Amino acid sequence: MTISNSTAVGADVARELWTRMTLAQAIDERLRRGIASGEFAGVIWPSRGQEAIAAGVGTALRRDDRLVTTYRGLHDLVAKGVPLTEVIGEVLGRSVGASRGKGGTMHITCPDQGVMLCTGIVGAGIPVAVGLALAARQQDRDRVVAVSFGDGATNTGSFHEGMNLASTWQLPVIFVCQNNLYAEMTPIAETMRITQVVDRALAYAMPAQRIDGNDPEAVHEAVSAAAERGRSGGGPTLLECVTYRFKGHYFGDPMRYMPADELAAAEAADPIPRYRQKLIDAGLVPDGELDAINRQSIDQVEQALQEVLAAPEPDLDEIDRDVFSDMKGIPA
Amino acid sequence: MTGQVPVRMPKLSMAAIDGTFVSWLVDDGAPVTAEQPIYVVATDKVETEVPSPATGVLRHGAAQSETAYPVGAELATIETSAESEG
Amino acid sequence: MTTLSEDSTTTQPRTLRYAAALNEALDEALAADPRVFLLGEDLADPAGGVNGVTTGLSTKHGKQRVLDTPISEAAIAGAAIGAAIEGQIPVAEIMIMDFISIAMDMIVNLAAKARFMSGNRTPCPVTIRTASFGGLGSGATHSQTLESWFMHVPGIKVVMPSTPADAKGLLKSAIFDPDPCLFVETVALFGTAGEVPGGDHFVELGVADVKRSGSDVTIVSYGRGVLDSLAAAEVLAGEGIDVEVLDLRTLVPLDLPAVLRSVGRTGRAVVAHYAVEFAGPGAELAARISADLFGQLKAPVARVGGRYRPIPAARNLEQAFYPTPDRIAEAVRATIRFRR
Repeated sequence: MTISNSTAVGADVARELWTRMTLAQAIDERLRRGIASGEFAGVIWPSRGQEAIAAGVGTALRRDDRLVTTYRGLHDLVAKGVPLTEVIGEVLGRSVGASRGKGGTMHITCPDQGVMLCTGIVGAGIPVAVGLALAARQQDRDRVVAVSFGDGATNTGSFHEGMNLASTWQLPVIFVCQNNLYAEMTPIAETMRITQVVDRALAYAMPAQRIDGNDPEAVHEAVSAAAERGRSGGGPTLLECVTYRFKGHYFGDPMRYMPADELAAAEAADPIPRYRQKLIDAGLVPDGELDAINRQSIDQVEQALQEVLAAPEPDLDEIDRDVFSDMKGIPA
Repeated sequence: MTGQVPVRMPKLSMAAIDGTFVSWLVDDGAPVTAEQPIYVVATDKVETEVPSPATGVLRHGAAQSETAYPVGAELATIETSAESEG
Repeated sequence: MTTLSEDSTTTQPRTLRYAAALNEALDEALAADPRVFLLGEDLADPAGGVNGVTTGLSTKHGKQRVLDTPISEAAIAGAAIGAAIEGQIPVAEIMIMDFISIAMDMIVNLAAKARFMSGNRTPCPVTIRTASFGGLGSGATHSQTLESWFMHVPGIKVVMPSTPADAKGLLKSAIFDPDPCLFVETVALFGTAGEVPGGDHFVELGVADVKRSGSDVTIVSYGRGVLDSLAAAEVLAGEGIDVEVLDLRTLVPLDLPAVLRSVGRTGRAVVAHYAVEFAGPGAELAARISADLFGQLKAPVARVGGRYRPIPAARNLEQAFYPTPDRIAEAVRATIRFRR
């Protein structure tokens, strides 16, 4: 299983990929800038460097296909189409957030765009994704479910239980491992004996592919193929998308555990300028248009941010809402 | 027309509720550009340079060295003008 | 083990064993709504569940409605939660309550919080059935009664029936409840018989039931504790002590008004449960009764619960662990004797 490179996609898909990558980058950078300077306070787990995966997944799925992602999922969310104000609103705890400020960065839900769950517990999304796929079959729909998680999650019990069940029941789940080579603050070689996450699929007799996660077209193609497999009753797929994260585990992480030369090499291979150059060299999208899309992404993020900053904090009685369907007999 | 952009103590990690102001990197009254480091903060013994939220003239507040301030506390302001607003 | 009732829409009350009452509830739920399905280990025929509770259901409703899973408690709970979020009505089984710790992350961090964290966008109407195997000599990791863990996590309902009628009625209510429900069955009661109403029998969640009226003291209990409390009440009646036994039936939502009404009348309360007494559900009840009825109590609120020990396997040791009618009766007598 060697890393596969992409074949070309058409200009429309290329533009979509570029748009979503720039949007993912813009939201990550603007939030980090504001938190770093004290402009606003929030907690984020940066996704800078992993935009190509988010864009590849977001463009390959239908709107009604499901996505489950993690606390390091803002790139996945915006690439799937979750409105920016809903995402930023949750990060900053305002009433315009997806759950009116009650979920926070780690728990952004947007069923309208197929995002049924985001989790803060590593690996937790995987068994639930299996259930979402089971329901699709029971409801006789051809939706597929993509569940995004990191290399660290593949060591959890939940991952193994979920992989096994999805394969045994042949459910339409696409397991998207965003392997950024670190689990929290520990390098992957210290957390597993195997050298490729994709090898885990053998244990579940599941089709799998290892992809350059920094090539959005390769991700797009692989997810499209996996979706087709799932929709036609061919069961689940594991996709190991190899990437790198530029900003550590959590915002403010001094990253002392990441060798400086390794980080420098990864930054030199930044997927965003790399894809920009590829599109220009291929003559697929002119550089002026690429830059205009990038500016538009930055502007959209800024506009959404200002809308969120102007919005009120949630009502205090929100704490009593949505605990149960009704509060009779429920302690105060 | 000038504006005032507050410089607030950032929340530098998930567990942080405050930060210890260490020192200014830029003098009072000096011009700064957005994202330029303007002071040093220590949290859990890690020192971090904090970037300016805006472009303009830095006006120091009353922050004392080796003193902890809660996240969100105003430490300084940036005076902005219409052309240079960050 | 009875086979499936030929006519579960009978209007006549019948005598059923607790396990058969559970079976009937599941059968009726599966028949009533195509979104209902069961999942868990060994549920389908011929196994029909570890204690036969799901006997006949896969044959009658199809194996697509009664899913056998691998031994994967986290995936069982997680898949049920995912299906519930999509509008299905899953009834997951964690075979033995001690195993529920493997599924805790799913239940505590997802099911209980899905509605709140999503701002009501993704409610989670999952039902998780589990069974306490206490009192059967199974040892420390197959005998626990752990409902207090779930009472402590806001967002999940906790249901624990003591009789066949309540088992059937509460299970049906739990299955069709829009919130996540933990339904705790008691294996030691599976063979007990009782009258079950006919027709489409539902018991509302959050409503306590006076199992025995009395005027001198209230025993507040649930699950197996109710039977011991009734046995204690019989003995005490012979001593001229008139005991009221209040069966909570549901711990969350809690019918506190019923508790306060009863203890407000009798002035004395004993809380009895099979869960460990220390930091158990009785502590919450005792605190609330004491706070709300402080000036009216004739004696401090007493608790009789499991000993604070890992549950031993040897029969005589295990029996020393649990409340008994004798221990409960002695606690009642102490409230009668109490003088300030």
